[in-house]
Amino acid sequence: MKLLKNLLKSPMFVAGITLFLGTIILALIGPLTYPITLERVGSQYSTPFGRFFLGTDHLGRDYISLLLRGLRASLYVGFLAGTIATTIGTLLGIYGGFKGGIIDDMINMITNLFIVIPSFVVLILISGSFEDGRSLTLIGLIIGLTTWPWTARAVRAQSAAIKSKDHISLARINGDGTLLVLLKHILPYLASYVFMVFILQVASGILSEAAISMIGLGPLDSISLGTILNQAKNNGALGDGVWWAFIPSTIMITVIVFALYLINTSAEGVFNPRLRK
Amino acid sequence: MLNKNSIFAANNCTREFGTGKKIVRAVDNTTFSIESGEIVSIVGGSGCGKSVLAKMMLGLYKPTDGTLLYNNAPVTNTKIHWREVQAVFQDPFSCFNQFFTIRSQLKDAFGILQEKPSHKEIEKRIDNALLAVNIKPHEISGKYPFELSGGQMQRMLLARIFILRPKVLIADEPTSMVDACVRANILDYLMKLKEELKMTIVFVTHDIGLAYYVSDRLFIMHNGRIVEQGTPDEVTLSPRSEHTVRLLEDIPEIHRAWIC
Amino acid sequence: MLKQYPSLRYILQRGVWYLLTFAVAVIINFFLPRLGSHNPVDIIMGKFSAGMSSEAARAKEEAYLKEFGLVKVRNGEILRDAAGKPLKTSNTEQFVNYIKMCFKGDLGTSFQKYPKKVLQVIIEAIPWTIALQLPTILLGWITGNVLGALAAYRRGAFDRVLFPAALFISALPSFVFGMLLLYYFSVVMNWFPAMGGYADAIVPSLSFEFIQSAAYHYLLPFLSIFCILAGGQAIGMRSMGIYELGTDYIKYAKWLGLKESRIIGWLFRNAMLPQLTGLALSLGTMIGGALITEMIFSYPGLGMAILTTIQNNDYPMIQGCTLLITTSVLLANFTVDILIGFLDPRVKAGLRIGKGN
Ligand SMILES: Nc1ncnc2c1ncn2[C@@H]1O[C@H](COP(=O)(O)OP(=O)(O)O)[C@@H](O)[C@H]1O
Ligand SMILES: [Mg+2]
Repeated sequence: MKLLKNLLKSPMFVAGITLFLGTIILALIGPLTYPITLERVGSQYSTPFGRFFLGTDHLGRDYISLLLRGLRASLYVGFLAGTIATTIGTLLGIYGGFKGGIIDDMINMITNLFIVIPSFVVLILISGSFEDGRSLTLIGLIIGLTTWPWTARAVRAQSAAIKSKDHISLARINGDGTLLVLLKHILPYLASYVFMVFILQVASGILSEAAISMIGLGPLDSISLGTILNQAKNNGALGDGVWWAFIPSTIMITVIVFALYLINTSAEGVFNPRLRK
Repeated sequence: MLNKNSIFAANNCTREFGTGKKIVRAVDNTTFSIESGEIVSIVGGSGCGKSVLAKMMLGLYKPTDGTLLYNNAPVTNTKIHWREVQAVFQDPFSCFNQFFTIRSQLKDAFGILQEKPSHKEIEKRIDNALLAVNIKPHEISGKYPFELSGGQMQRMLLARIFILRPKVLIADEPTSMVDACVRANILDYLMKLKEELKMTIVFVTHDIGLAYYVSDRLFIMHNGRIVEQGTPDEVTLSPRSEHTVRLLEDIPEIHRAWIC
Repeated sequence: MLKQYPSLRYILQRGVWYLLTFAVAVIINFFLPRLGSHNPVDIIMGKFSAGMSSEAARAKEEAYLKEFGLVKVRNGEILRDAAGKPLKTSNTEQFVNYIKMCFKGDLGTSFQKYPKKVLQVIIEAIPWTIALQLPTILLGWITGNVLGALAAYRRGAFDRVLFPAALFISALPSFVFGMLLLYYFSVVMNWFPAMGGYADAIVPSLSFEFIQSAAYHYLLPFLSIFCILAGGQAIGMRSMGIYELGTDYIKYAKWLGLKESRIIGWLFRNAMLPQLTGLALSLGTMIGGALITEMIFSYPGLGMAILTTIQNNDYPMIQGCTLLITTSVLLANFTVDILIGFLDPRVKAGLRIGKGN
């Protein structure tokens, strides 16, 4: 509670969280209040501020509809990837750091291996091999499964540091088992840290999805901000000056990612003095 | 020297950390025994392996070599062991989980008991234990560890011992982080535990002067080894190890006057 | 055996570890594309066989099957079962075959540009990527570090302008920045060309005309990578510098009245290790790092090659490119490990202790 109060005192955090909640609300409420249609409704690339406030795409589809869908898809992918990466990384990291020994060595080895093998390459290889059935969920899953090692490494170091604290010894002579020690006596100490890692993972998930979509390996079942950009690029919007084809989605991605960075940076400032103590 | 009735018996007990080149031998070939009902002090400088030895007696570390017996059976890391052997640690601030109230953590201690008492009984025993260490229950109700002073926190650890009433208490430098006034109090409580409960106490300290007052026997540790053991008078009046001499030299003048 | 040479031992140790990682990477690189697999030959046949008679189509198919190592071959002849159908190779056999070919420096044949070799396509694309990236990374790194050190040293107004600007730019997704640059400078202002590495009408040669055109096309992609990189480096250097400036020896040097350039020189030396690490890593990601930027500017480097490759399901090309990217990243990481081993006092101390035993 006190923590939340401190966070809300930071203007950076307030700005970040407001922007971020704003995009979420837009993605959730937008489709309820705006008649979404993904059919051809106008001519190719009709200019904005006319019949269609943000114009139409190369197929004559309404951009507001596309953007609302795309925003939702991007947020979904970010949360999915972030949740998977943070969960796997945190569990493996906490466990490895606490247990040590051979299991820790093995987790460490896998972590180090997948930290140096570029995850974007793995993403390209897997996405490329799923010619059909490459869904938004699959992409989120792959991003999550390729980015957890960073979290695992960071969390492991923290967990190993906490393990030798006296309160862990006390918990053990209270008879608390390994699981309880991990969840009750280590995890809370890492919670703020894990939260910040999660925020960064969500941001990087959104960016990864945009990047993979832009090179043409995006989801086949949904419209995301990345696929909108990919289509704009493929249909010459960039060189022809059809700004409404890429500026709005560009702004949306930037705003989300920026908001998340703001939250992360400000939270770090608030959490850190506590951690040091 | 190994006595059949010893409560703890160590034979070449050793503990190493790490592997290969980075190996650290924290406890090195120690052989000793501790009898029921006595107060034994383990004295030595910082980093000499006292805490590791204490944690081995608690079953938190296993010996990597040699044996460590409790009542003629190897020490285990089970609730059964912890029902009888309990501890207070050095740093009172880091001993409790910051995210839960003190009282709820005192309640957690009941987890190791074979039969958990009734809810009402638990509350009553906590209140009594708090009173035993001179803290009024309302002083800590709803409070988190960081809201108390160091002296209060150290007394919370002792209250936990009053709740659990173990046979053996391992006190790892319980007085090193508190000021002189609180230190005297804590020693009083330790004495009270010994008298009332006939507890065996292993008192870990770097202060040989303090150990002299409270113990029946002293073990002097250096570099993981027990370099000398004996009664307080034997050890302080005619030390046989240079390490003991050095520890004696570190005592403030005022103390030494009392000893000699 | 190597106890007398701890440094050599360290290098060997890291080397073995990276070889192991490389092996895993190669395995991943081979098997991942076969995960959701349909037969790559089906794809390519679908493209080519449209107008062919069935007899000709089969002959051609078998030629491809042989070429891509998908059927068993002995003495140059395809092995067949009783019905005359070619015997398919298993994934393991294909893998062994792939490794053998890799050792010969053969990354296979491109589907899309058949019968062009993958390596050939890569070799044509890569000079563009390196020409775009190498100078950009070096310049961006130097500029960023100098600006960062200055900001840390001077603070004041300079810092107040530079820091938020750098923070903003480096937090922008790279493709966003590239798109905005492209839109503003080439579409709105019409100052620079929007696409390609040189004007379409010119044939690449060492003529003045070509170089001029290439330079003209170079500027926007250059700027878009340069600014982000310099921004990131400046932020890192600035915080390192502020930390170092707080240390006693710098305060002492200032008090002694040492020249500003000397002190900044010191700052550099002490803040250099993480910055050097950053440089090596950016050089490692050089090949794969600007895929999207190249795409946005239709720059004829590896990024564009990968894009067309992906659009055409050209598996051998995809695998070739990803292997190349992974290899360069691994090499960069290896370099960084060695660098740290020799420059970081803590690791160096560890090496020396090793000497003692
Ligand atoms: N969990 C551990 N891992 C590695 N080394 C340890 C560990 N615990 C203690 N040590 C090492 O064992 C030695 C003795 O430590 P300790 O028993 O804590 O000393 P002290 O006598 O001050 O209590 C020290 O050198 C310490 O670094
Ligand atoms: Mg200790």
